[in-house]
Amino acid sequence: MISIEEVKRAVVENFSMFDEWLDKYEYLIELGNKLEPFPESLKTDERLIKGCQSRVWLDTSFQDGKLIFRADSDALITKGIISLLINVYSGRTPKEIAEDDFSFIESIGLKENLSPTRAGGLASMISTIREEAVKHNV
Amino acid sequence: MSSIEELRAEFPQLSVKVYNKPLVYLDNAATSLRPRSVIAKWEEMSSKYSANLHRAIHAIANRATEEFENARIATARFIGASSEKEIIFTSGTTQALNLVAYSLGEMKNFLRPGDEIIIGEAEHHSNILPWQLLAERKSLKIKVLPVDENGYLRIEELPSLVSDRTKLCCIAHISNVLGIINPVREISDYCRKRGVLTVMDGAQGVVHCEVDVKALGADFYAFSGHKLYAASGTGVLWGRKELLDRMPPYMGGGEMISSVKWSGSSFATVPQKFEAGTQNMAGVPTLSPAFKWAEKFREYPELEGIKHYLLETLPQIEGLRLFGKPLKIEDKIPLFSLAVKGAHHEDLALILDKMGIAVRSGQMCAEPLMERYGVTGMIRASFAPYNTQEEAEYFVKSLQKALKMLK
Repeated sequence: MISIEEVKRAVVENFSMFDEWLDKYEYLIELGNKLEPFPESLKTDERLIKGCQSRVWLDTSFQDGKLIFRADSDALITKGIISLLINVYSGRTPKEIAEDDFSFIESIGLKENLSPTRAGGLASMISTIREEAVKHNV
Repeated sequence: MSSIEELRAEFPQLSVKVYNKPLVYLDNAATSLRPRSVIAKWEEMSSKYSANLHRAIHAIANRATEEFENARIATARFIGASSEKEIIFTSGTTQALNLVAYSLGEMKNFLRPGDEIIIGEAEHHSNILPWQLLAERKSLKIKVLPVDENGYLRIEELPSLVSDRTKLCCIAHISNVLGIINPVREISDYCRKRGVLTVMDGAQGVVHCEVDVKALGADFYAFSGHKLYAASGTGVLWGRKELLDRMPPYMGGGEMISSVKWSGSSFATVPQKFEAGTQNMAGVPTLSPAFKWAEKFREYPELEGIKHYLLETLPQIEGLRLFGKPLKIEDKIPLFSLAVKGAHHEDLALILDKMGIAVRSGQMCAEPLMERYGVTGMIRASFAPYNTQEEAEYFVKSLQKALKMLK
């Protein structure tokens, strides 16, 4: 498995190809559409992260020393960002995630979409990913 | 004012660029833009006349007080109040409505457990929550006056909702989601005959309608300055004097007292009784120039063209559902809330934003109404007289492009 740094570099590189915001969004929409289907049965209130605008469902499991994240949203661009996050963080050890600074999000210019002040589900998703990593990183 | 360009030049924010694109500001129902005259008044007050009101003897305080009290007179004139003593300054509509709800709740010989409040179904959370809190405190019952599919209040249901326990009816002059002008006169007439007090949320109404509170027949009318071209953090509560006199203070603090003793205190008369603490001394005086703009804008017919254009064009977009569909065009303000099948409001708003268009999206502080129409949210484009037909066309084109991206 390639390292978390390499995956992040690839993501940042993919994004740097787009000068225009709308192209970035088109790419995210495409990623969102390709996101692995999230079982309807997992769309429970416990997994729901309620934001002001879109809803995000996050399922976390811990297998063979690795954290597995699955997620979904009712909005497509958010789903695309979820896909990026899962690509980077799912299947990693708690140590890898806990040591990460999540700064690649800023490098791809999506900080505003993920800002906690926007009360979005994505910001909560990131803090949940972090919390899970810290919890299992013993 | 001869041309739209000259008019737009009076609102500096219109020349701001976002993402290197000209800003198309269509979120006026949330916050309007400020004209130069308002900015100048705010700057004048901040740079020359910062001082506490009413109490100090020095020259600066006198001037600050004069500007503040002149704004009160201007406000009374603007909404046709009998006296400026009926004008209470607040931080906005929300505070004004909370003030009424709290203070009426504590008024002697008014509410008893089991009494009822009627609230419109399309109300902003600010005209729901203060009443829910009051209902909880005083064991009251809330009844909902519904809206129909087109967004009109079903006032024919009012007689079946009003009982001899009904004490209050709380209705928006115009809903912030539907943009349909409610028959507030009819409602207040009916309520008055049945001994029911009416509280009106005028946050949208005061912007688009000429308001004469006496003719309206309501008991309270609340609105915000920031939606009416004035500084933010300004708001007005108008109330009938005999009620304001009977109502106890809402907050205690400086300015609102007559005498303070350990054995008990007595309070100032209205309006100061309800204006505890240091007031928004730079903001309130901006109401005067803002009213001038609001009055000037009533003579601007341009928005009618935009309204016609959007009411005709938007429904032609596949899967688009418009909320607040007027039976007569004059029933509607230039505010368009919509949802499109298969496209999430957040996605639409994000894409429109990157095209330079500022719209509101989400539940618009009206969650019960979202539930009523079975949607998780909407997007809302709300126009002001400084918006242009070109901007309306750009909005439609951009919306179509966004929908294509989301297909």
